[in-house]
Amino acid sequence: MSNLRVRQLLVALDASQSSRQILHLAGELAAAMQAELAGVFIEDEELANLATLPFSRVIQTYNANAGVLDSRTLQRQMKIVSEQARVALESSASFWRVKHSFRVVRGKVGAVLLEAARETDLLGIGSRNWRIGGSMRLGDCASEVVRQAGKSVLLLPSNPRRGQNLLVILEADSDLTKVLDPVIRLCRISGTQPIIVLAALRQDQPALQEAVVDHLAPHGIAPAIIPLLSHPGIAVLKQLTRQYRVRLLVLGSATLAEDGKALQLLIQAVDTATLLVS
Amino acid sequence: MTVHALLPEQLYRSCDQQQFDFETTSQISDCVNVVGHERAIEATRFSMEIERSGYNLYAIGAPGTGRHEIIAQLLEEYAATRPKPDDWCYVHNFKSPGKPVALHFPPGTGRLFQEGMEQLLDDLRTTIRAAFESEEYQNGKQTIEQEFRERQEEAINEMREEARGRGISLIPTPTGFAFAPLVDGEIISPEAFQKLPKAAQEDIEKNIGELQKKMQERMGQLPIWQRETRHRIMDLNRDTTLTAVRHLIGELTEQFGAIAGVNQYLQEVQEDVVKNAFDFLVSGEEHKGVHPGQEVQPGNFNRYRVNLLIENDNGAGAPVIHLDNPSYPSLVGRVEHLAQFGALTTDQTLIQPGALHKATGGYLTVDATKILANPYSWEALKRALRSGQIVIEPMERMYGFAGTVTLEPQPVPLNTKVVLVGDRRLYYLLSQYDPDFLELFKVAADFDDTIDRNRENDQRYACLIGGMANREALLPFDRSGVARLIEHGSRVAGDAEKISISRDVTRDLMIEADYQARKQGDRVVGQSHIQRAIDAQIRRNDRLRESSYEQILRETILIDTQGEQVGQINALSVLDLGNFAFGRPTRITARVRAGSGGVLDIERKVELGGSLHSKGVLILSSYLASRYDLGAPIALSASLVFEQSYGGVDGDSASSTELYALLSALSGIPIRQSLAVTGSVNQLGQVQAIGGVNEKIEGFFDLCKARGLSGDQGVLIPNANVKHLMLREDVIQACAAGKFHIYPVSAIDQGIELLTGVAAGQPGADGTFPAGSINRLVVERLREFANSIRKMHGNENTQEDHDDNQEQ
Repeated sequence: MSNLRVRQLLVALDASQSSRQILHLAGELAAAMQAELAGVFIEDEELANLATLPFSRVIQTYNANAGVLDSRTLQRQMKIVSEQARVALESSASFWRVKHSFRVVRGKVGAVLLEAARETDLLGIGSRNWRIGGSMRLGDCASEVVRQAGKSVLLLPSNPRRGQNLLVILEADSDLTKVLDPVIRLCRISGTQPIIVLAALRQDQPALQEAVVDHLAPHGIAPAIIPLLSHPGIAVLKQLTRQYRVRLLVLGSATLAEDGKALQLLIQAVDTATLLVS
Repeated sequence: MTVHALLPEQLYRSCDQQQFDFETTSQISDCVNVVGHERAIEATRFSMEIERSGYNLYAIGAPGTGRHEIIAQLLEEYAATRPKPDDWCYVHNFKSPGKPVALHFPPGTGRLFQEGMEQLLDDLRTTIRAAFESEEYQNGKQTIEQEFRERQEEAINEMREEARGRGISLIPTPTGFAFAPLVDGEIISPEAFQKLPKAAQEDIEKNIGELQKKMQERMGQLPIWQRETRHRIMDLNRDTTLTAVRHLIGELTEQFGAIAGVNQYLQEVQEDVVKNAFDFLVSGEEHKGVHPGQEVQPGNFNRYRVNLLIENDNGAGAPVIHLDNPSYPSLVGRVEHLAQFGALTTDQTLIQPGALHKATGGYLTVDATKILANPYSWEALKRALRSGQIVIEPMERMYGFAGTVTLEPQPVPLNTKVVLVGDRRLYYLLSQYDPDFLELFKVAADFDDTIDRNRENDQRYACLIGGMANREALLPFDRSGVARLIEHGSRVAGDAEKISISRDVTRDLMIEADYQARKQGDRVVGQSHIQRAIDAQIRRNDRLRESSYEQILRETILIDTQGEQVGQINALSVLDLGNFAFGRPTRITARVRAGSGGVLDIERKVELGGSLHSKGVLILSSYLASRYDLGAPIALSASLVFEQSYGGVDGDSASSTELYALLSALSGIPIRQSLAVTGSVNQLGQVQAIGGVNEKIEGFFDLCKARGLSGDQGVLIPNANVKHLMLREDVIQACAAGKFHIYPVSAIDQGIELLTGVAAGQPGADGTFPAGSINRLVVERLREFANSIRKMHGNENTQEDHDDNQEQ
């Protein structure tokens, strides 16, 4: 996300209801960035294989009964939920008045996401994807994409906390241009001033602060700067997002973004849209 | 037996101006408001003071007697001494939404409560929103939700780990979860599965079967956990709302809780707010309906609003309400509806009070005729008085017709004195035909339309005139003006010994006299102005009278005012046009012959005569039979006709006139056409009083005057009517000059002598009348008829024998 301009926000959708719930927030952010809202519905190939096995059964969530899982039924169900995803995307795009597109892709989830990330400016993934699990909120596939795509990823909670501020986490080794360029863009559009947390040692703080101000001042942005003399832990981030009523958390910390386990904990703790700048 | 014409002073009773000790009424204004009506006022006071049900009042009296004014004045007097009644409010009934609850508050407090509830509503919007947006609430809610998620995920993870231990993966599907055997981290393909040994396949299937069973058990727990979570969030919402609203409602409870029903109502409000707290989270814009100013669900907060139905904050004392248009809704109130999206909706804020509500604790006056003319109003009033409560019920529901779904507001207790103002006829009709009437209106205030004319009442009447002049901003009236008004009051009453106390008539005349005075540039109203006003009134209204006289003068209608005729006489009738009455002469003729038909009333025969007129004619037959006893049935066929009468004839005031015509026809003695006659007669030949004597005399006088007064013209009136004479000045002057005469007659014999100039004749010791007298001639004629009839039937001896015996 080195480019200042985000032309397309591509949201990965699957059969889960929670993935459709992120579309409203995705539409809002697309509108804020004046980007197209694109949706890609992934039909999991592995699931299709499972349906061909002779003993396949599905335990229905709604009544706890075990039903036959055959290919035809699965295909029909996939068609229904992909249609629901399309309608939800159109509805969000219409509400936020942004351009939109939608497609259905069949394949292995990880591979499809990786491919999609390469094609777009910004990939949006629901923080509760169809691979549900206590330690799997982002999911194996999503984590892999974050680490391998080399592009920024937007993690979208299905029940985001209310807020209006933009909170940016910077560390001493953060690439300021990569992190602050999208911040400048968002601030210009929304007319808000960001809150920037500088997580660095005491001796590194003045230089980092000066660099941030120098970067933002030409754009007329005067951020509120909060020095933090330690690495921002999950508890600190959770407190900051609630205290400052954060709408979007921009994580410019490579330490966090590349640490899958830490990322999982962050997603569990913080119900705020989070932009991972690669 | 000689009857003398009345003297001028008997024709008019003047009012003595010297009895008044003021120069003009400006010195006596407002010294009295009510003259007469003592009986009615006493009855009204009785009704107002007795605190029992059913002692409502019916004010009987003719229009214009000032009933409304006097009643209103008395009610205001009583109302001022009574405490202000409570305010009444309708509030939503949270237990039964279709039945709003009526609450009553000390006077002036209802509005405070209404405003308090409005303020509460405003405060609730901000307070509840703030509470639900608070960090504490959000944290609490998310913690509960997170717990649920973690519990759910934990259960699924346990299953996933257990499955993984058996080499099986847990895969989510669009409708639930499935188990898949893994090979090298990938789901096994059907081909690879088929290649597995049979035992391995069975082992996989067995493992998956066991896992599925366990998974089903876990999934069965989900709804229970969801319900628990939902309840915990509901408890959190309830606690959050309660914390936010308790102190707000507590303030109202502290202020109004001691008032009956309010504490419970506020408790119910609190419970409802807690139950529907999320309604308050919708922004104001989202409350707006499709029409400007209209609010719609779900943010319809009207259920918390107070309808201040009756407010008794203003003024002092109890209310006095006059209901001018007593339609059903304006009497008992109504429930209005609003059209929303094609449906009619309503709530307690749309309940409108009726006059009974407004008069609660006070007085209500209604015109009896109007309330009876308005459909269902009379029944509604009676029902309210009987039950002691005001029920707002749509007419269609009351009569069982299907209607819009509406409210059934809790009845409000009725503590009102109702005064019906109506005429006498209606009072007696209601008494006779409505069994409830006398139970509910036990007191009748009977308003006189006249008072005795004496010095005391003259003084009080002068005061009344002064008060009226003052209230109507008229010029002051001098003594002569007041005296003339009193004299006119007697004329209106049709009685020289009475004064009409019709306020309307007096007020109108005073206003018109004031106009006359101002027109002339005078500063005081005197006798001449009043006379001019009276003349102008007559002038404005006498087109018909002129037309009627013109027809007589042009001899289209035949009335003789000179000469003599047998069986022909001038009768007098009155045409009442409502605001003007005048007398008109009518010719009556009688013809007789032998026969057995008796006296034939031709008017009755052609259905132009009323029953009273027929009664008078029947009395004539009786009079003839008893006065002229021939010892046998009278063989007479006579006919009586009101000549050129094309309208109806009723009343018996011409019965003496008809008898004179009949006696003339029987005796063959002509009647003087210069005289006109009025008066009824009884079987004994006594002449009885009639109505409209002044108008009748003036009617004949005007005709004679138009033709030229001859000096022998005049009118025979019953002696009993002399006290009623209040004649016009020109009539009095003509009488004083001997150009016109008014004869008071007590008996038929007196009258026939005046009319014929022949003695009537009194029976001697032998019972026979003197020869040549009218009565003798009548007897002879009747006998002649009897004989001719007898001859006709070949039985003439019988009558001759009888005559012989009589002469002996």
